[in-house]
Amino acid sequence: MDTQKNIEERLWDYLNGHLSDKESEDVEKLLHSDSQWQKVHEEIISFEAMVKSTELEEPSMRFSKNVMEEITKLKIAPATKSYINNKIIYSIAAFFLLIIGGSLVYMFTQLDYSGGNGTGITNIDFSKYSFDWKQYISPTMLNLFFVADAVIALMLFDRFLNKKKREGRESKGLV
Amino acid sequence: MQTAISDQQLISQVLNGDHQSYKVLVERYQHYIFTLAYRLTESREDAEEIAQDVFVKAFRSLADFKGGSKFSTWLYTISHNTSITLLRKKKLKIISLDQEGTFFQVENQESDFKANQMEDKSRREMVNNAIAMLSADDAQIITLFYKGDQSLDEIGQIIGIEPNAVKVRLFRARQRLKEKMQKYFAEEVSTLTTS
Repeated sequence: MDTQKNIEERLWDYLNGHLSDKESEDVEKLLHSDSQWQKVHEEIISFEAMVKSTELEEPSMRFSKNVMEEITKLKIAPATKSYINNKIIYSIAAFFLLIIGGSLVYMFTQLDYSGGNGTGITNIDFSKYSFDWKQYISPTMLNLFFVADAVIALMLFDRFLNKKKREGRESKGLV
Repeated sequence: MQTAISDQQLISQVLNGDHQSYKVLVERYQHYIFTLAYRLTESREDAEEIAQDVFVKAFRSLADFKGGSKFSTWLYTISHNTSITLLRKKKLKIISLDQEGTFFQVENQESDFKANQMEDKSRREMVNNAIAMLSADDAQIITLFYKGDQSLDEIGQIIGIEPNAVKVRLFRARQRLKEKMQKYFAEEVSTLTTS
């Protein structure tokens, strides 16, 4: 048997046009045959009429004058589309793609595919690069880096879970 | 709502330099915007400040309104965001009368109120009082749906949630409003429903 809450929910959906044709027909049949449905229907109709009859709050008499005085000092800003030039955005994107692509091409041309362990990576002659990584990368530095990464990852994961939880609660109507 | 000049026509006139046409738009929507802000702040001064800010922001960004949604939906979205920003800036607490302490206070106020003035209350005032007793979120969603003529999708767009979540919130807001009306204004509700 339908509970009062279920009947109200379906009737509100029916009255606001949120049901399919088939569901609407079912509700109409119930409204003709079931006195409980008829009673709830009347209550909702009268409730909605009352809510719709409410008056809106009135701002002060000078409100529109105040707004008009305020806007006389202003100009309408140009549409966002007019000052964001897509060509500039595409140029920046092309620049970065070129850098990434160039680096990849350079990296692959340095590989010696002729021998070694099959990967070829070990045959790259790193000695010709004068940059001394050991000067900057120490075990402590690496540990700090990983700890910071782990903390950031946990924070992001927590935020993601909270968002999911909130959305889930909202869709179940618990919030 | 039948209007002599459509919102879109007025916007075109404003964009073409006839700034006085904006006054028509302000007068058309000032009550809605003010009511939404008032429901959130419960302060006429803050609501007026927010409403004025909304119309000024809307005027400045008018060239960005492309007519993809109703002008009212666009305006309510600005109103919602402005209210939230101003409340954060002022560190005002969003009024939520569903909280236990406040609710108790209101209950006492309502008993006196009921005894002295209940008979003089009109239907509109009664419903307005019941809406004022809801949480700010509930009051806002009820106002947008019943007075602002916004669909579930549009309300979702305004307050930034999914239409399904809007539907659930609206259902619960209606339930709570009905409960408030039955609890505090039972006598009047029965008179109105039987008349």
